[in-house]
Amino acid sequence: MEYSTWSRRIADLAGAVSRLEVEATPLGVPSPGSTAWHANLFQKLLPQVTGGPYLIVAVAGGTNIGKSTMFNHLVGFPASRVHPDATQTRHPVCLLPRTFSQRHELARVFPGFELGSWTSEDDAVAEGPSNRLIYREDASGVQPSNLVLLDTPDVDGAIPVNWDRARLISHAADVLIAVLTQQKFNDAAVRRFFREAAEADKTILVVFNMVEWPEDREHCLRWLDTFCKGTGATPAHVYAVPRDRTAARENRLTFHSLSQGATEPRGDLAELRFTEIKVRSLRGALRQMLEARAGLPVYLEELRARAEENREARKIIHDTVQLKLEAPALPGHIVTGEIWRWLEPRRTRFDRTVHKFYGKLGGAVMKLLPGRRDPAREEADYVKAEQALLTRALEEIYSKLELVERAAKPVLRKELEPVLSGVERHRAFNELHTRLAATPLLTDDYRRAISGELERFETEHPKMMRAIEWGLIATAVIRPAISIGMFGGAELITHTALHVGSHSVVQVAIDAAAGAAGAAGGEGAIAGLAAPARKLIADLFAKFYKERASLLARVIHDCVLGRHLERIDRLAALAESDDYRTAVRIAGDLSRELAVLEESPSGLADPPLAPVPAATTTR
Amino acid sequence: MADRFNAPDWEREHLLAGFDRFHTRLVDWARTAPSWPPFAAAERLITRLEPRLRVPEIDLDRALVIGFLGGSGTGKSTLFNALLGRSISRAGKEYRPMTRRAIVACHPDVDPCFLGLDADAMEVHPLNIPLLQQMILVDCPDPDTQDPDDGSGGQRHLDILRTVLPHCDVIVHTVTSQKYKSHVVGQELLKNAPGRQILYVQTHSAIDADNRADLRTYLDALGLRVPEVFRFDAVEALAHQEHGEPVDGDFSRFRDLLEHELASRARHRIRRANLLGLYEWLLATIKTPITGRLEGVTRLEQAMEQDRSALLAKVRTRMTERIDTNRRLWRSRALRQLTQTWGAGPLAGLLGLWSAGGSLIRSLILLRARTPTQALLAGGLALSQLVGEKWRERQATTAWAAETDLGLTAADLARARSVLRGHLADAEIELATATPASGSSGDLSSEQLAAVALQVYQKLESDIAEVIERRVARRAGRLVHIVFELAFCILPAYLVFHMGRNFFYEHLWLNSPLLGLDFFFQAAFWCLLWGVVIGALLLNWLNGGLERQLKEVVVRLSPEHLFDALYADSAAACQAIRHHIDGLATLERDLKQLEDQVGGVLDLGLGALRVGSDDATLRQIGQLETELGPGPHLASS
Repeated sequence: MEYSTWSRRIADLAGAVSRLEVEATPLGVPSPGSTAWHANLFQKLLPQVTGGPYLIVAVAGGTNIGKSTMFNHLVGFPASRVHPDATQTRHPVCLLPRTFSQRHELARVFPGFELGSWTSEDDAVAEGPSNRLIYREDASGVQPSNLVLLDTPDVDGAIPVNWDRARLISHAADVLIAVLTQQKFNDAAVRRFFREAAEADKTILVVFNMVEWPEDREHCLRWLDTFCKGTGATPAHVYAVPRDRTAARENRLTFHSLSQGATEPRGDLAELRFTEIKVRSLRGALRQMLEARAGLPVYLEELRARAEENREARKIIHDTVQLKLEAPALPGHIVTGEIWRWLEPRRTRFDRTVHKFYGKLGGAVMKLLPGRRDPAREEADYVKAEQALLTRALEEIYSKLELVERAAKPVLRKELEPVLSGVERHRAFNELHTRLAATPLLTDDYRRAISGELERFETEHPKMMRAIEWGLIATAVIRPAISIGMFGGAELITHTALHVGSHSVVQVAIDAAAGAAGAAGGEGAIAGLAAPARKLIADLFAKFYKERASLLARVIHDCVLGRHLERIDRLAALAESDDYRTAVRIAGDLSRELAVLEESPSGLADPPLAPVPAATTTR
Repeated sequence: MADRFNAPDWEREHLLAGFDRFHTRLVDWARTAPSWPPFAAAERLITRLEPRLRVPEIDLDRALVIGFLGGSGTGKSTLFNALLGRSISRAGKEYRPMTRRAIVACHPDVDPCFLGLDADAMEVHPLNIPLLQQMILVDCPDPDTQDPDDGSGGQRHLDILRTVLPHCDVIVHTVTSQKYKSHVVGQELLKNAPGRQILYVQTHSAIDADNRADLRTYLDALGLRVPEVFRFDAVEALAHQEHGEPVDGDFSRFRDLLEHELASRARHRIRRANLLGLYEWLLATIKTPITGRLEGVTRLEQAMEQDRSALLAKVRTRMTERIDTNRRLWRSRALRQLTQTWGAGPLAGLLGLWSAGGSLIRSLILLRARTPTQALLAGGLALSQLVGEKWRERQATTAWAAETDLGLTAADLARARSVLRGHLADAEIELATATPASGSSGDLSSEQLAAVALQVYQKLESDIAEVIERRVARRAGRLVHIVFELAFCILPAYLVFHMGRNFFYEHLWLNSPLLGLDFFFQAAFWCLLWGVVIGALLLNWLNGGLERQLKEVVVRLSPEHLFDALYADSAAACQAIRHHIDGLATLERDLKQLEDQVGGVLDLGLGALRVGSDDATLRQIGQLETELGPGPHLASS
């Protein structure tokens, strides 16, 4: 396998995963930011496979056992403040080899950390943002040129955020120096921490600190045995450091070797076989990232499950939350008046005179008839009836949502709960009333729509215009059926509907044929018309009702459900995105290749990754 | 018999009775709770803690149980041994963990089976030494080397620890420099803190730095009271004892405190204080979610209040309009009242005639009365009831036929109903009458509105009748009657006098001609005119401002009385919840009283959960409780 292929794949995978994360996390999918696979991918694989080779050594262990003392010894000067109280190291301190920052971009080496330059040993204990990392470049040139040394916060203290920092750093590391004491070598938190590191094939150096030497010599071996059993680690070197306060203060610790070939950590580190360690730790990171029970596959599976769940939720809402309204009768003069207005300039003089006469006559007759209603009064009644209708429709939507909520899975229930709260409902009802009150019966949009329709009709059926001119439609009133649904649910109710895709998720459909066509005298008038004219009238009325019903749809979208439905929609689409497919594909490929590599015994000798040049030490 | 009780005995019995009473009240309170999730949670918690909440007399007398809690290697076993003055529990650093069972040191007479452990989970050492006369020491496994992730084996030591700790009266918390800030140990301590006293010891003083100041800060942040932290070296103390040398100051002070102060003198006090502490913690734990979720109830109440006002405003507007448009009806009613009050008299007779004519017209109007308001303004109570009945009937069949009359529309109700349901869901109140299938909440139903409408009419009717009656009584009393009757009689009297003079004096005596017929016509005309003028004056006097008063009647319609029926179920639920919370406050007062009787243990230098600790701590413990479940925590036999 080519090095460039590997690094490109890792980069592609990281890109796809981070885009998925950005999309999914605001939608309520738990952020994978603190998981092992995430750290392995972003802290370890991405910066270290794509960049130049270097080895990261981190000092790790429980609180108040001398990590900082050990680190200071490794770097040869007091870099991190040693404090008698526990949990004092807040920020990791990093010692870089000379010219490291020219060779590498630090922000990419330590992604997710806010980098601060070292000023004094107190930097590590100072207040600051929880993700600060202090770094200093080795001026003396004593440090091996591709060895990065790090001090970490504790893994078991009372500030859990420290543990996360320590884990992030340890995931980035290749070599861990495990500082243990007789009190802490078998604590659950410590064990868990190093077990994770051992599983990722990191090289571990064990230092037993604060040992009573030499009487504890035998104990140390027993402790080591317990530690190895508990964590599954095989330490490369083991040391014992006697308890000696003065020596610690003066930065001259005594190391007693407990394993073969071990002399003193500083020297031993420089002697390490860098290439082999790097390859092993990278492969370990890859394995941990692709691990089937807790790794990336689990996250991808969760995304898929979430998408599935939300598709289901979408279906439930689609099937349940829909309703059909019987529109109140519209005062005839609204539509016909508009038609007259449109006709007015198009009439011949004769027509106009005749119409004026009949109009006057009709008016006079109408005045004498009992039960005559004032147009203004009629409009007011219509507005009132419409308000009642839409309010009750909103109530019905709410009770249907309640039904959905009762039967829903926790995810959907959590989504719907805020929607159904009293305050939200109050707001939605108020909004509906305000908008209704603010919208006149005849809007400019509707006027334009009418004249457009009529003009089109005139060009298509010039002969039939005559019938319309003669006012056959004067009394026609059509009450179409209005249906409102979610995610296209409106179409379920009406088949031959005038589709009104005004909003992405809440829709209104109008079906003139299904409604009570024609009221009072309108029926006859409609029946007398030819099919195209009938359709024209139906369309004109449908347009009117559509405009009114969309008002409700808009309120539902803006105040009730829109945000949530969109979220459900986006979550449902998550598993179909390109990024998801890419991530699944690359993860699958990598797993297969990893399996092949692990099977062949030569895999270790023949690294699949870029060969790391042999460590060049300057001392 | 009686002489067996001395004064302290009486006092103790009294206290025990107090505890029993409190316990009964608490359990009753939990049992009678209205259905509301926080109450249900409270009941669950009380039921779970039940075995620890009862205090039989024998428990008070039992030896003080002292448990050791601390990280692995912090010297629990060493301290245990040092206190006993001999090596009983295996201590050291060869292995971690060292102590894998509960090691119990007690007097040979004591049966430690109350700890609820199996024989293989504990190791009993009966020792007949003075220290154990009134004390049981239990060395426990550590909480920090055990990882539940390791499977059942990892859970075992934790289980032993968590079975033992609930039986302890005092916990000795051992820490070292390396382990005093261990997260796991801190959480375990916090979880077991309610209802216990805690002694803090920093061990390994010979080799470790003094971290007591930082330890104090840390424990304080956890929500624990820290009066004193002991610091000594138990290894040295044991060595001294084995060599027969005197032990150092801090250790002997610690031992004396345990042996003399706590175990013998203050044993009962500690037990009671523990129980009180437990109760206190329990009440606070119960109260936190209740207070938190009461917000929802408050919002519900506010929303109901607002809705009621909004509905009433609509009704008022409508009724005021009606009064304006039906002026004639109520004027004739005032007139009728007037004729009824005055009875006899010429003017009264004339007005009666007028009123009769009016009622003829009114009955004609009544026939045409389309709405209850019209009918009501015209007619009396019986009629309004009749109309109300009719209206109700109509309600049942055609839901909203008469809606416009009350000024409320279907939209108003639908909206109020929906919002109410939302608020009910927010407050987590589940009404028994709510039927999700029908989509109606029980409250704000059409039937209820019909009832309310009837009530509104009846109320208005009686109020209007009262207003008119009072007005007639005040403005048209006896004096006014006499004045108007006299005024009315002036013209007829003068006419009679004029006619008499014409007939008897001028005609018989002076032979003047008799007054002609035209005079009588004119006289009759003037009489009528005079009557009309006087009547108009009277009616004007009577009716002036009546309209305003009637409108005031409408304004006086209060939302509470009229619209309570609409929100009956929801309001009742809120009320029940509030009432029950008051019950909790009473319990708190009772507990405070009990506390005053018992007295604290602050003087002994014992640590404990801080009284009235902040909500964060309580939440944390509550969370721990729920996470860990009742399992081993209450596995007492």
